[in-house]
Amino acid sequence: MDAPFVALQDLRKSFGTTDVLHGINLEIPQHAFVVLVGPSGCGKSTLLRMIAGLEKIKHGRIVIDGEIVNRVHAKNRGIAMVFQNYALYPHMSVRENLAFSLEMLKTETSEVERRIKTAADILQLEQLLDRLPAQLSGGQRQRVAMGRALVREPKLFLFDEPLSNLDAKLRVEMRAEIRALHQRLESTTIYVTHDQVEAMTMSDIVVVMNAGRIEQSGPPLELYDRPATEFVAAFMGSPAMNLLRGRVVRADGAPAVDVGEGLFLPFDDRAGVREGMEVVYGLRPEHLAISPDPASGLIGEVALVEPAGWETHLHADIHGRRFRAISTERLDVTPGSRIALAPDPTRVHLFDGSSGARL
Amino acid sequence: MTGPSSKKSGAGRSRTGPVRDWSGRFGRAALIGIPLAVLVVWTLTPIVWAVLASLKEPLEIYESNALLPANPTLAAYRKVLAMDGFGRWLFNSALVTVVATFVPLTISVLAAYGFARYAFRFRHVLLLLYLVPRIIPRVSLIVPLNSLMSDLGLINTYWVLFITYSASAIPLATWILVGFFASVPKEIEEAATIDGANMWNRLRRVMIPIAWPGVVTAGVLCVREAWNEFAFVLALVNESTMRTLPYQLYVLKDAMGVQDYAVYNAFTVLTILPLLLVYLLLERRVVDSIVSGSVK
Amino acid sequence: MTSVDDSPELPPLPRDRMADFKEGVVPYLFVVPGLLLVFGILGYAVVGGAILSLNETDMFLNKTFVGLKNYRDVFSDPRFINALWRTLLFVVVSIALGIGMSMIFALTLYRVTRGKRFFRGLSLVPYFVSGVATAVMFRFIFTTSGGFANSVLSALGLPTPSWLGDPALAFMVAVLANCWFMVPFATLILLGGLQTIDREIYDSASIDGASDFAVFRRITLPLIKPMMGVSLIWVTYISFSTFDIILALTAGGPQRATELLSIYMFETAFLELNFGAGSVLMMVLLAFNTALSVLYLKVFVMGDHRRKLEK
Repeated sequence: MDAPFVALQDLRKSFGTTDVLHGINLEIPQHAFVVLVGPSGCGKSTLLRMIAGLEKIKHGRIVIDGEIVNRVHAKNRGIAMVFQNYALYPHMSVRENLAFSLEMLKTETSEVERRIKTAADILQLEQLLDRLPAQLSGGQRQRVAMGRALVREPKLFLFDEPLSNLDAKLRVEMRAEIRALHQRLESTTIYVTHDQVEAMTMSDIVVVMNAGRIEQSGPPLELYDRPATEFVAAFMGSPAMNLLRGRVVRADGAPAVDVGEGLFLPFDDRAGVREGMEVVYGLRPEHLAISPDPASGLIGEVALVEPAGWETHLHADIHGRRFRAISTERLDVTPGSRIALAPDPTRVHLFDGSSGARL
Repeated sequence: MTGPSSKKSGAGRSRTGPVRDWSGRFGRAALIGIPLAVLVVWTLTPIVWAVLASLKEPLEIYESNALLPANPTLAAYRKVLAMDGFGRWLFNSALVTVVATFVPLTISVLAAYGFARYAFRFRHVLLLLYLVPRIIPRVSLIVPLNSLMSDLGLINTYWVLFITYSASAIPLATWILVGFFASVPKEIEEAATIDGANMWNRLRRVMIPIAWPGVVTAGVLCVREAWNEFAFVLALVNESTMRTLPYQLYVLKDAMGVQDYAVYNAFTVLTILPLLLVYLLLERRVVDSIVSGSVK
Repeated sequence: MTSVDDSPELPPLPRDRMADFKEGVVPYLFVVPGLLLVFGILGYAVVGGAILSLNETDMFLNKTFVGLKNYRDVFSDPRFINALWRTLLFVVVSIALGIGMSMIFALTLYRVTRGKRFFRGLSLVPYFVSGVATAVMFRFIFTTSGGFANSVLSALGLPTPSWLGDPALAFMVAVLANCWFMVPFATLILLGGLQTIDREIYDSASIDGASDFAVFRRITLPLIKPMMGVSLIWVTYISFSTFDIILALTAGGPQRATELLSIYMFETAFLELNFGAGSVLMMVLLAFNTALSVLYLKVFVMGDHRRKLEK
């Protein structure tokens, strides 16, 4: 593998006595679209701002394109950033917003014109160039914010929750648009979001953060299929994975997790799992098969039915425990119906009961 | 005596019949109309009366109880403008107003930017120190200021007016501007930082234009304080050539034997007119700033 | 792309002292110049006043330390008692009248539908008229012969009193002039308070069947309490240190009926040239304002300025 384009080495950050980042190490190859995802307060935005040069680095290093940038001013790091609330200059027209950074760099007028035209073409801003930000819709402002990043022709794009102010429909559109833009420009991108759907759908590499640490990083489906920790398992995927605390036992010779109330959940034997261990049993909703035949699995009572169109989400109680299941068939069930649910033992995730690490 | 809801009229209509509705609507109109008329009359009477009196002939006021001038004349204004020294007083007022607006405004813009954008150790303490002077009434300071400025030999100079006017204008201007600067989203300045703007450019190209309504408001209030200032000039100046318009207006009372009411009123109108024009020009921003609670 | 668990030991980068220095010093470069000017002048004046109040000055302004003698002299002077009493009465009457008018005007401006901007703008005009001009204009309204008030009264066949010659009437005229000057600002502050109230609250209250008066008392008043406080404080301050209006309107007369502390201070220092006693009165004014301000800071500003900075 080539030398990483961006390398974060042992980055730590604290505000006063609160430690926000506890030693972040991460390497990002060139052209990658990396999504930093995690709940609010996990440190992802702070990390992004450190890369941008908006937060001082007191411990650790940031390398961009082979250069330690700890002391390089934000404007000289070759980055461009799109902010959550766009941070457009409200008193400048779209054209002036796009031109501002180039003007600060004393770029030649013809070059400024060329870059604005290119960015406007890509983002369909030609008609809007003379408007003020206040005269634009949310989606248009979003585009201008991206255009302002684009004209700088940066080595590295940074996005800080750029879609969180848009309504649901527009968010899905812009998601695709940003992704398409990346495929076209191939510029290395770091994108921060708290929305795991954005993380899954947009990224080449997902970095899941929690409480100032990286929980896991890798291609999105790898994280989905093999979450390294209980946190990642719970965070990625919607509806969320079923997670139940219990103890490993043998029931009728087959391995299972006793989650109490007389409920035993089966799993396939695997190395490192011994009888008596405290574990967390994880099963994605789509791996809890629903069968109309009550004899074929665990008997559950339907608590809630959420038809979502092509699939149906079910909440069902088995021995008093709430489970989520998904079926792509149209089910004829109502709250109170009794159905059979069959966990797929080969798809079970087990996590250490105390550390949360994958077993 | 009523809650200020325009929507309640709907509830009233549904509750009562058409007759009550008519009286209700009439009552509501009166409820707004009468106090509004009081407000207008109350606000304008002194000024309108001064203008009317200024247009009368010298002895008309003594001879007639008519409210309107019988033969409106601008003679009084001509007399005022021809007064020995009027040009000088006008110049004095204008000069100290310009200086005592731009100096405190510049200083306050910098200070407010510092307070709004930097988290430094003594920030809260220093901002409080900026506020303390606002609770000291100007007039209370004139005794020691007179004694200090006498010691410094600054009595009867422009400098003494520049310094004291500016110093007393800074706290309010800073307070207003801190609010406006702090309400500019931090991200906008960060975006400008990444875009390569240095501190000076961020302040000049980004912060000041965005906080412009605040700068205008603070500026107008500085103009107001300087133009209308009386206690300091009274205590620190005693030569007639150094008087400002309010001071001369005050002195006018004693300077004239039999009062020429028309001239007196014309002088009054001329002293308040320039400031009212400034206000008229920028009324919207100033009123908005006060109503939004940015000036307190 | 990997995340490395065992962090390699990095040699620490040497500290960037220049950056640290800039970061430490720059904010002070912004805020200190203003502070120097403000405190150089106003701060000196306060300290200077305190010192002056302990000294006696002769005609050539030579000082002799006399301790608290000036304070004893002033506090035992019936003129001081009169001025103190007049000031308190002036403040109380001004507050009652001023806040009452401001409240009514604010409610009116809030409910006006047509020409709202015009009336709002008009209402602030007196705020821009100097105290001296205000006083002169009120003198011409209330002069005995040829004044607006008496012209109207005589046209109506009513008696025409000597407004500025009668102590009680002159006091009321002074209060009126003071209110004319200070009500506009208080009105707009209260209007601001009214406008922050969500109209849905009124809708909900009228659905709940609240009467107009109940809505005002139970919803409007509590919700504009902070703005009420601000305008109350403002009105109090202004009234306490009113100077230009009174000096140019009545100069403290007739029979010292309008001789407030500020006027008394001015006359003591600048007409009787007793700077020591004048400074004592300055300290009295400062003491009242400081007491008021402690209240002000406690109730409003502290929260406000923290909110401002932490936005």
